[in-house]
Amino acid sequence: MARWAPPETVSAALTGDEAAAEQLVRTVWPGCFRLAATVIGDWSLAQDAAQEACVIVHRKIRSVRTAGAFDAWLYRIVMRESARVRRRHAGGGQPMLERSSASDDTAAVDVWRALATLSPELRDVTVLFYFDDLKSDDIAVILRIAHPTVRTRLARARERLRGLLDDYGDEPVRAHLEVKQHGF
Amino acid sequence: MGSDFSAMGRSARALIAVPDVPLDSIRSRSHAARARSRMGTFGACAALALAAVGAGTGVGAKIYNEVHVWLSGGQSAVLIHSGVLMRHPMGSELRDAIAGATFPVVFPVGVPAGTRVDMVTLAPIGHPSSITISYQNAAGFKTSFALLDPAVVSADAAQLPTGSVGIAVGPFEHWRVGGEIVLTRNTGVSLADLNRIKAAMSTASPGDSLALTETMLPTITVLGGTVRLGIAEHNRPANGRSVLVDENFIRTIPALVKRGAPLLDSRIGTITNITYKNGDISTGVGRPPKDIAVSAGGVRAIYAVLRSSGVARGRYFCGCEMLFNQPNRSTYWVWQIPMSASSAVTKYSVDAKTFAVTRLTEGATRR
Repeated sequence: MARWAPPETVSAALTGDEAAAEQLVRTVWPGCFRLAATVIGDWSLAQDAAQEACVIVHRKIRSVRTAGAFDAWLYRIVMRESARVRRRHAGGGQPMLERSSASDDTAAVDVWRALATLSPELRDVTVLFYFDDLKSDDIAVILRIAHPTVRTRLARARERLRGLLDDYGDEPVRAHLEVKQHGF
Repeated sequence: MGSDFSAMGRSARALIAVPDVPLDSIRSRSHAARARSRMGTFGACAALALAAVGAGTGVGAKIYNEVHVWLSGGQSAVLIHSGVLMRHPMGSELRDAIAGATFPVVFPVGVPAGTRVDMVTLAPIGHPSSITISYQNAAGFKTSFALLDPAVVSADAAQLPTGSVGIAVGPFEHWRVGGEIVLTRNTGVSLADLNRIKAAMSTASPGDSLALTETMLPTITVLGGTVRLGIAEHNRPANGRSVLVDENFIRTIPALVKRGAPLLDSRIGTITNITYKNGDISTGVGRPPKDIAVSAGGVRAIYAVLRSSGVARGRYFCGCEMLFNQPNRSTYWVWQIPMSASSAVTKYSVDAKTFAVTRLTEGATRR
């Protein structure tokens, strides 16, 4: 599973070649930025978090022992840097809706609004579970929390989202959430 | 609104406008950070985040034994040309390392209960006149102390060296205990803890403080920043070398098996020929590890346990740490210690010839 970059791009960077490392940064930048933006909910702060993450990628890529370990390593970095930036800049910034090209897309607007109702902890697990399709035990390792904590947070997030979606009267989404709830 | 929340989220995310990659900034910040970290954790530990200063400053011609520390007001600077970095040192290793110290070393005593020693650095190599020791515990106590030979300290410098001057930092505490100067930053440690440590050190002898410090060192070889050390120490057999391997090292196991290579003991390293540039560490020559922590056969045994315990090929994490021991020539023992505190430790026996894995009962994991 190559989520961030093709294996050959990662492998080239692992050799310590500077140009390859820069190519890797170019490749992972959009994904890093979008993940940071989704969990932080702020366009400007996401730039800071993504840049921090990419500095680490550029600097420490040689410490990754195999190309297969890269994806999880980068998930950890982006989530950690996002949390750090979020803590440092509570409040303010540019909400996603203002900078999303989907500001007139109802579904996207609903997604941002739904995520905005979640606390950072619930938001992190929700994004990784639903948007990135990660398993709950992988999420536990990435976020360095216990597996049962992931489950609890997912359940809480579902409760909140379910209530919100009830307001919208969206039965299909509710059904989908029910299926996912029993599927992990 | 679409019916698939996941798909909806993914498409919403795909619509986020992505700014251009700030590659120049990333590149320059990466290079700057890499230069700082060349000396491993000397920058963070030996220097206690004090400023590193240029080697050619010419100030305070008191450079003694390749180490010099300046204290001026609330700021400080340190110059080191070579050193030893010890992560998770064991008792005998620490004793050997300080045997050649140029001053009677009194280690911090009176640190909170449950605290463990993370790292020790010594400079210069062979005859340390500067020793730093880093502690942390689960309650948030996380700090380092520099123990210095007074001969290398300019305690009342009129000013820090100029020229290629390092970063100004403060505030820090320093005090004298017998034949050493102790230096620490006021971070990660409460005033009450600091006062207690000062008082306890004032009456401690070098021998007593070393004995107390040894109780905070691991009793097994620890590879990586382990979080399950206590469990591993509880389960370790009385005989033979026990090695705790953390998740990051476990991820290297398949590649090592493929190469038929052992797992090296990378806890202790040396750095020489340290140079400075623009007030920061620029270059250093590190010695790669050569000592073997787990033999090639042992590495295969760990891999066999990983596979038998259901960790599929291509998975990123096993969600565990592994304790390894070889009780005799024909058998390896491997304990799988889950990261989740609620999960049980499982002990496996692996045949040294066939690498057949036998899951032992959980009761057998306790000494």
